[in-house]
Amino acid sequence: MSGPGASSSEMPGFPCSGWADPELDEHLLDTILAGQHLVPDAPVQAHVVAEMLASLVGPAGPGELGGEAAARAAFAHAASIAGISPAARRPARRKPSWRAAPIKGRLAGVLVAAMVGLGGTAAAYAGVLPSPIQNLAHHVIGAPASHRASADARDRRQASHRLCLSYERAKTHHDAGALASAAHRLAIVAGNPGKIDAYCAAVVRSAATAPSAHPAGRHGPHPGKAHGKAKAAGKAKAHGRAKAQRQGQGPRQGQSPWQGSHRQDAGMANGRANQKGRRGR
Amino acid sequence: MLVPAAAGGLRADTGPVIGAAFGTRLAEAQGGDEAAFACLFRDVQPALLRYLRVIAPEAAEDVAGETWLQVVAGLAGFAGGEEAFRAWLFTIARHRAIDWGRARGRRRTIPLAESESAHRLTAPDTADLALERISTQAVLALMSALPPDQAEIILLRVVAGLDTSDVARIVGKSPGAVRVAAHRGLRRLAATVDRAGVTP
Repeated sequence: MSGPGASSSEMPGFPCSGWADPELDEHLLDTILAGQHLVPDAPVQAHVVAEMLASLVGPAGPGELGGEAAARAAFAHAASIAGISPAARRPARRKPSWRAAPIKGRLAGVLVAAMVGLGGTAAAYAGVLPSPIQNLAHHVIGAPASHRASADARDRRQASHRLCLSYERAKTHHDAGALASAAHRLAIVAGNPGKIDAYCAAVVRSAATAPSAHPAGRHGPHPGKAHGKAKAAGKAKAHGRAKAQRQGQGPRQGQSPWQGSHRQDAGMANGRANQKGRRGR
Repeated sequence: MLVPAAAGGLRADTGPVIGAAFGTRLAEAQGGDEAAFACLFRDVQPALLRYLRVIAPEAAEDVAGETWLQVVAGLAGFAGGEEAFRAWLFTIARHRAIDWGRARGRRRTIPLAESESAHRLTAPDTADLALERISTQAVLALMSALPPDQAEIILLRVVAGLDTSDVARIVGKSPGAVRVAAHRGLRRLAATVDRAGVTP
């Protein structure tokens, strides 16, 4: 394309192919892009386009903040691993039983509580959350990803099984914190607290009779193992992050599973700030 | 909704609006304050979704979720002001959307013409536009009917509230090329409303 307009062939299917360019000069177009007031005698089309663009920048519409609870849960999880959350700085206030609970279990509680806060009754372990939330849950607590949530019933069964095992173990060891956390999550999955035992009995029965092509240990570690792994990973990540912060470094490529594919992501974070400062904009 | 800007023009709600408090909010979020992080989220999420609904219409919410996961992972190392934060976040979102597009391409093979029509919002015809006047969804649909580079650049300028140089860095073009593309897109929109007989 070389001119200010476009030929019909450049936008096939567009409803107005063959139209004449309205008289919109570059200054006027820059004014529209900047969201500034147009002069009253500007062409009618300019006023309409400005109004159209203004409609794109209104406040959040229905559902546009629906992912907040999941994002907050992911943030809380990352902060707890890095040891920078206010809660992490006050270990003495925690109950011993809460400290003993697996990190993933704690976060699952946060996520499920967040889902309840959203008005939903679904649970991450049931794999029925709205897809973006389910994907966050998948990344954070290992619940099935949304794209296979409906198809992968096996993962859901195993997750439910692990949750029930955690619940039974907490009861056996009189671990009040872990018991409360597991019970809270199970109550949502099962429907109400009174149905937890029946739900878990059915889950355990189902696990005992289900084909074991993939043993539970392959897709999800035993709760005891999960605790150990999460604890070790948390320590390692917290140590690395703290070291980087002491050295005044930004996130390195490869530090995060989401930062490895595009160098520009991190580059924008560090390089742009300096440019902004120089521009003084 | 528009609010008066200091310069006497109109400023978008979805533009950088935390203002002077941004540095404080960012520092609090980097210190683990969830409420401060929520403030950052609410400031950007509507704009992010509207951008993604045009450039990744089938997976806007998924891509937004992945974007926030990456933001959370890199937040401790971020340094900059509110506009730099938005530029960083939209850079991530664009890359995640590109990844999504590539993954979609690997999953199935469909004719190009079908692909282009299937993955765009359905633009309202001119009669609809005239009757409904201007709603966010209708305008997003019209934006989707523009050539993708023009639509994306206009959205980054208007919805994300980024300046030309920021947008140029994000899309990998020169500032001049960004400006030209934005102007062409706006002229197309103007021609559409001209045909529809929409008046302000």
